[in-house]
Amino acid sequence: MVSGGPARGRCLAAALALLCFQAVPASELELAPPSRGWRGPAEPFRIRVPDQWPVERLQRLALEVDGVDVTSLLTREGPYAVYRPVEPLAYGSHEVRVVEYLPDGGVEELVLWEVEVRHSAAFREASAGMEADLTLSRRVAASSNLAGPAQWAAEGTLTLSGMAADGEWRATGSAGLGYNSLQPSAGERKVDLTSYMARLERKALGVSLGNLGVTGSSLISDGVSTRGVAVDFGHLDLRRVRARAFVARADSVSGFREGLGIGDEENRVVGGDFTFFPLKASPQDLVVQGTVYDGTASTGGEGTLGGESVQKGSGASLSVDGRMFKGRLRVRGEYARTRWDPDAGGSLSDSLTDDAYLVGIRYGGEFRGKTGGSWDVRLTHGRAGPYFNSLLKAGAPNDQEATQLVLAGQRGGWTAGLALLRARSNVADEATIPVAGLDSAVADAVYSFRKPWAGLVTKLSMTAGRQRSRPRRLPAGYLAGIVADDLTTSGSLSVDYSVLGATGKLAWDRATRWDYAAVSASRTDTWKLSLKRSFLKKKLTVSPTYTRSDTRELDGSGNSITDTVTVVFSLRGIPHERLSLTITPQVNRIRDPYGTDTETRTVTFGAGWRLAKGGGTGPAVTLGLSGTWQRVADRPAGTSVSGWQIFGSISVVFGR
Amino acid sequence: MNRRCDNGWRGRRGVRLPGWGLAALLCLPAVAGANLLNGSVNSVPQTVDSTRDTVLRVRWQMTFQNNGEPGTVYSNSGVVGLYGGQTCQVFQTVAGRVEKQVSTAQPPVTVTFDETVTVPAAAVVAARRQGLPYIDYCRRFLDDDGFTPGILLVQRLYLQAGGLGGELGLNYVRLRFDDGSVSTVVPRGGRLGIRALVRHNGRGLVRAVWEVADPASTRGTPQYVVLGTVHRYLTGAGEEILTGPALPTHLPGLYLVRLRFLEPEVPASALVLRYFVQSTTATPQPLAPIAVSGPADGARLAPATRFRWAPVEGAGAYRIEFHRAEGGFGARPDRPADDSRPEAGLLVPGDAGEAAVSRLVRERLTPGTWFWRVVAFDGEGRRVAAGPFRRIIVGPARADGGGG
Repeated sequence: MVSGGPARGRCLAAALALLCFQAVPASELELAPPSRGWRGPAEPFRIRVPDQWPVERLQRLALEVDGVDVTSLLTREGPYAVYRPVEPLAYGSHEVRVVEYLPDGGVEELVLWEVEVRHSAAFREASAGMEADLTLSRRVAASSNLAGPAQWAAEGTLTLSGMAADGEWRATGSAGLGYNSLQPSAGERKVDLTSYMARLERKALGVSLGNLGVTGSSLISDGVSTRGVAVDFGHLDLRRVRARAFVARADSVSGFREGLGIGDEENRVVGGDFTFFPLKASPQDLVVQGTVYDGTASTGGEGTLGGESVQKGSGASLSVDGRMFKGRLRVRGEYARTRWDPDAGGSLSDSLTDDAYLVGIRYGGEFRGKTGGSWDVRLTHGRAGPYFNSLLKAGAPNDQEATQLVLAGQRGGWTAGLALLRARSNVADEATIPVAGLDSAVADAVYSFRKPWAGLVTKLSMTAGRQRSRPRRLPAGYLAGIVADDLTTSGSLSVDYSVLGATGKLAWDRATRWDYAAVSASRTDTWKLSLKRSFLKKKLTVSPTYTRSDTRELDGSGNSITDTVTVVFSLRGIPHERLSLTITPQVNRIRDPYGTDTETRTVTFGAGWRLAKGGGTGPAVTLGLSGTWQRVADRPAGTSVSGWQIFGSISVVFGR
Repeated sequence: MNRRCDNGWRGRRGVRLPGWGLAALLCLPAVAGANLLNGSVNSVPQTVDSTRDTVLRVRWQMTFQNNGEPGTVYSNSGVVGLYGGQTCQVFQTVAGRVEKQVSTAQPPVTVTFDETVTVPAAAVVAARRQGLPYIDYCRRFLDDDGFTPGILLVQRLYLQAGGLGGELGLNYVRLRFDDGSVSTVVPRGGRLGIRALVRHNGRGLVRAVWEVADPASTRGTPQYVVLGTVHRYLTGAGEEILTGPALPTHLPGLYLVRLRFLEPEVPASALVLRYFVQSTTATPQPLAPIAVSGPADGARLAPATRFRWAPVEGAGAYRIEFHRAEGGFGARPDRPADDSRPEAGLLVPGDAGEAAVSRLVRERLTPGTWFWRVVAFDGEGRRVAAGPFRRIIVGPARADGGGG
């Protein structure tokens, strides 16, 4: 154990402190100040060791930087023991510790320094980045069905990032923009502001604008990044409380239209969350979190099909997560309550209040013996009421009660698990609605070979599963066949292999489903074979992939099959180092019993010839030639359509 | 294979209900007009979820006869409510007027209306709170003689509470990149993933293809190629995440990526996202692998345990890193991120090929499961190679003894 000697202590850096160290009279060790007056990321640590210390004692000393024992890389330079970081240290605070091994097997800490690594005398941290490129292209040739007037097109991107920090403040920001003159986005925008973020922190206070993860993941929020404004606070002395208030959209948007994301009255959520660590000595052993919000939202928009009507709602969640017995036992519970108005103040429905909870317990341990290994058991139970519905977690399952037991273990090269689930719907037992049940069991196992088996197989993975859905209670008069009554069995096998310098994977999975309500059965088999091999000192890479998905009606009435063969040839630096080339031929065929049988053959290529490498103040310039050929054949009709197009381009890249 | 059900977003695969005759009862001719002979709803029984909007596509068919004279068949509105007697008690009007001109001189004529309509959750909630097991979607069709009450047709919608459903229907599909965005910029060669949130009801097979058009065509006419296929059985009312394949980023410029549903049929135009690939190459490049020979994955840390690896050319130092494995409630402990900071570690010179942990490191390795790996640095402080993460078990101190 570490003996907390009298030398233990820390010193906090003042705003312009160049190096902070604590004099340790007991050990008389001294960390030399940095040469420039401030410590850079690669600057050596020079520790003066008292001359009078005997060699035997010196041999018992060890040096640790940020938890890494670096003793074996110490060198002696006169009266100093010197450590040169093998990797530049990150800006900010670092811990440097000297310990002494005691004859009784213990370890005594002689001194602990907290040092600050800085970017410069002015800023502890500072960086700025800009990447911009602009490509001007012209379609130089095309097939008649794609032809038309020769088309000029322009496209480009711009990403900006910056950060500065010193003392108790820090500012960060980033933004990304994309432009294409020919393919406007859904809102007819040619310039996309894809995302942006700006954040300013001072002492314990922080303000964030732009794309933020406004809440963590919980029963009422899935923690996705949306656009908004947030103010957060974390107490400096008690760093055990963090709290945040936010205003944000409930869905994702791009472009400039929505600005800060809080201007749309029909899509705005106001809320707050907090995290509290009650145990000062071991904060992670007990964590309390809470979230509240209130707002209006719809979740349609870009990349979405079937947008929802505007709904109002509010929610609150409180969770407690505790760990005991050195982390072997973990207990977690969460309770949440929502108020949901499905027609946002309309006359059809008033607000509905409902709740949900989730409790879980996990216990794990290690196997005895030389082989080692670990195991754990997890039991969770949750329930969400019929009208539990959160705007920040649109579409999450509700009106369900589920219990899950998971057994997992790892020993030798094996990793295996078994998950059992039992769930039911209609938790309020409403008499007019059926109660449906689901029972599921899934087992999986992975074996990693220490050396390739038969010189070929590096990993073997397999799964087996069974899922049964059936009605547990049908109300009188309910159309029986409409309730799911089916059994799905599944299995998969995959092999990771390595042969003749190539790596790849062969995977197969099968799912068979018997639908007792519809009196039908079908089976789906999916195959995937992939390979990757590099040649010529990695200048040429060839990656062929074959996939087949085949769904067969077991009464013989037909198959739905999708076959795809793709090969990617990637060449870089040959025959000339300025050349890069990618060619991707693909054949895809889709068939189904309804008369579809389409075969699509495609070849795409892109070549670049670097005129100027860039760097320094000059831009990189690349000439490009790219194109596509595609033939789509409708086999039953005996018709086909083919089209091709070739583009010439010049790209200019600025980066800093 | 039942192809009667041409029900839009619903699947074509066979839901052959033993109670199919009951469904036919829902096609309710009320009072025939002078020119409208009869009508039907060409659909299988459908279900609706009480906490989400449900999208339906319904095919109405009317038989029209007007002695060879042209005419108009129309319906002023579609309402969600409750059918009883000859009327529909209106909860909410959810669709507007539909009409078709009938000009053929060969009577009788079948007039078909295909309609996509969203049944709002509020209407379903209202029905449920009244203790109803279903609600109805009603349309009254009329002709242009103006003197008859027309024909009232009803599509019955059964309320469900999860785990139920008729034929598979997709209510809501949302595409997002891994970071939740709908548009993004990535460096050339960078990693980018995509996923689709699919809310569904009913049961059946979903077939879809992930497709991408790269800058080799988006500079002119986009031509899509297949990136991956989806064949998956869905059951009940709920949501499913369809994780897409890794997206290509080898050419700079604009990419369009879409999820095209083959079954059930879904209008594809909305399910497209855009991403831009920059000309600058993503950094860092993947690290070269280090072959590690011991200890085995999951072995117990003992005083004699030696960490062994194959030398890396040009290595100036190696770092053996230790990261604590977190035990959560979801999947098994994930391996740490490549750039995560180790909680403990040991540096050794570049000419070493093995090492044992020091007492100082042992002090930091509290009992439990840890991940470890070896990282090689060149003389200028760059990471040049890394071994795979392996687990190691650290037992109670009293069992293993101390010392290093």
